[in-house]
Amino acid sequence: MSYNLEQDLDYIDIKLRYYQHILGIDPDNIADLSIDFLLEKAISLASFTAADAREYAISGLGAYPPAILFLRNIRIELITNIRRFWYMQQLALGASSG
Amino acid sequence: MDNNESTFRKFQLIEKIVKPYDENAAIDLADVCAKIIIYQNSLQIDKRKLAIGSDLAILYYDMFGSQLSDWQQNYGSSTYGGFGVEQSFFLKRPNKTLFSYPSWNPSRAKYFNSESNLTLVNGFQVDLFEKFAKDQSEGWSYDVISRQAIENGDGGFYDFIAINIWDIIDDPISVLDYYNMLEAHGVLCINASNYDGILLEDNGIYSAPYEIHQILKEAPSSLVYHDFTQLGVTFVIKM
Repeated sequence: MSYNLEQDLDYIDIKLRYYQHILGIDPDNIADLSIDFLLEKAISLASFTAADAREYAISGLGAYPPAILFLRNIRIELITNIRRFWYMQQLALGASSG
Repeated sequence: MDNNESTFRKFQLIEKIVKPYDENAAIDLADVCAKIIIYQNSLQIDKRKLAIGSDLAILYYDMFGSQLSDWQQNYGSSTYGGFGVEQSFFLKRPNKTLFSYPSWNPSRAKYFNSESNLTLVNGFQVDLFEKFAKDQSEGWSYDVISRQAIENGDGGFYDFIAINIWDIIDDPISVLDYYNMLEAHGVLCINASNYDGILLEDNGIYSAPYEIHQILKEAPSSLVYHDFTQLGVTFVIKM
């Protein structure tokens, strides 16, 4: 057996649709979306940034509350997971055109 | 011969046994990655900072495909922390092996293929491995299973499974799909399990890698050991 493009694309498609649901985007419009749009939605959904974390740290309020740490990691994971599946989709689509 | 020299020779002998890969592994990896970079450029993969961030999983080929350096020469056949994976394989001597990252580590794929019945996890790793890393003279014999089959519990059973944290990071509970494919006394190795160091930070307990480890510790008959050095490797034995 060897690489199965169809199965790969199906798997990636399901994952990207999952993230579209989280972002409140109609999954049927996947062909019209850009990575810029997806990430813009993701960033707006979880707006606590690394800069916010630094500001909190120098404010003298002490250790981060668990909720802030949790939100920070959720934000990182949401954005990076979208990026990875987008990258995988580009590779799979490239394989299909080759 | 004094004791020190005798001990040193024993270490040399052990090193020969536990380092079965070829000495050119780092050079081979750099060559493979360089070919993949050219291929990715031909596909016009979006490499803007916005699109890829600073993600090792995306930038892997760019990192290891650049010109050779002392750092790469010391890299061996392994990803960071990879020696533990190879030594676990060597000690386990598995009959059936599942491996998810052959294009990131062609030498390890070659070793697994020569010593075990190898199965690869379908995805871009297999595609790029077959396009750019698979030397036809090696006598390859492996199966490929889909990620859907793994999630559906139809992936079969293995004595040894080697995956990366990136295979499961988007859905921590999916680590059980791999754990459940272990035979009794089988070994699951999860590479790069520090996940860019997040696991070692104060907020590590609020991260997906932490959740993955907790899930594994609570899995039936599991024995979990996390080697936090380098990028981290998590070893799980199904007792």
